[in-house]
Amino acid sequence: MAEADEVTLVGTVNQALRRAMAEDPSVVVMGEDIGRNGGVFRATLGLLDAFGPARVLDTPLAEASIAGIAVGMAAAGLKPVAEIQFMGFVYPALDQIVNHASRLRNRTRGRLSCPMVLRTPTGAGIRAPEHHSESTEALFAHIPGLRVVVPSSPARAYGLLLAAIRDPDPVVFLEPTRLYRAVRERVADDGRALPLDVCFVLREGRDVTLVTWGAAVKETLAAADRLAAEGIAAEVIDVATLKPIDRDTILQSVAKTGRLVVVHEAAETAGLGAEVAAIVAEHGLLTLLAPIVRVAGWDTVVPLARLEHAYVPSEARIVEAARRVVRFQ
Amino acid sequence: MVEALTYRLSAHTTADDATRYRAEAEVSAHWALDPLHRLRIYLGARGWWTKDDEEALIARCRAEVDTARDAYLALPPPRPTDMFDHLYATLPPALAAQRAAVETEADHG
Repeated sequence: MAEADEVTLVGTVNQALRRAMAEDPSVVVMGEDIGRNGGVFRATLGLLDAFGPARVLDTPLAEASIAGIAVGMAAAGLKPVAEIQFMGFVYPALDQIVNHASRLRNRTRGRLSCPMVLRTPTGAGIRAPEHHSESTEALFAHIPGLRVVVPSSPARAYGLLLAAIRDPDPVVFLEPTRLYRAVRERVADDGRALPLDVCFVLREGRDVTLVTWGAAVKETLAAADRLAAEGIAAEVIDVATLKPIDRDTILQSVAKTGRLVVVHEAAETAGLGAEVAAIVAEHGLLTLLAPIVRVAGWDTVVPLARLEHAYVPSEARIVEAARRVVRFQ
Repeated sequence: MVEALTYRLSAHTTADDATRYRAEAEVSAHWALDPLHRLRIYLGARGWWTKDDEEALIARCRAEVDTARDAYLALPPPRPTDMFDHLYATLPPALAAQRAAVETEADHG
């Protein structure tokens, strides 16, 4: 096998799309400027030339239509992968996602299904204007029938996107914008998917469990390094599939460490961190040695560029929270 | 009711390279149809708008934009607690702790 190249996260998204389209003629990609222009972040670069305009569709600026057309295509047997340019633009599409994509299988008692993927960049940190920085994954995770998947590295973007496209049900696939070109890693373009519905343990440790996902994985791993230098061994779990959530991996880790810090960039109130805390409170309360702490985005509108650093949970906040639960008596 | 077809003559943003997806000939054809451009030709042909008028207008506009930009650049940097200032008419007590945490982090950061 040829040696794998070093690729960015947006690069592995492109590879996964290309691979999925090559292996399955029912896969089509669609969205605003995704064809000739290759997408606002170039995730679909070259697909129009490779697969032609029947399978790579430039759409009007109309998110509700993009999602609605994808629902129809999926119900008719295609596997549409629709791109919404930024998560802040997804709300006109919510009616189609919530009222149709998520429940088509249930409504038709299994006669129809909706194997579509809705991809969208998510999160702050690229100094973009308003509406380009949101992390509202909890809105989608609340909807029965949806899967919500967030990769945190080029390799996981490749494997999870392939799995999302091959999955027989609708998947909301959130790509952390500030990780798009943050790192490069060797990823074999071998068509191998990663499993959905499971957490990934990125680092093992006995003292405290740090549960996170998406872009916050970056600061959380950095915090774990700093904690290690202080003699605190942190276990880092990337949830990856936010819904349905893999309780077992989280509960097993907390049973070992007795301490839990949940880190996410989205606003704290009613964020997924509350769900993680509730799972541990319900099923693992007696394994806890300290109160659960959340380190999350503030309950504010994501600020503009000059304050983004004060909004995104910092390595320092994560370290401080971990120290607090470890020292708790 | 007026229904008008419009055309974006410039790139979408400074990050957008419009030559990737549209031909120069298409853009120049639309420049010729641009109402502002046509009005200038019309006024010029009648002697109601001279080169001097235009240069003076551009200089005035440029000065206005420069003043606005300089005023923006002269603003003190925003404080992290600014995030909380205009969320609600009155900041709910539930958010006071978050605001205080931001203040502490800013002091230490």
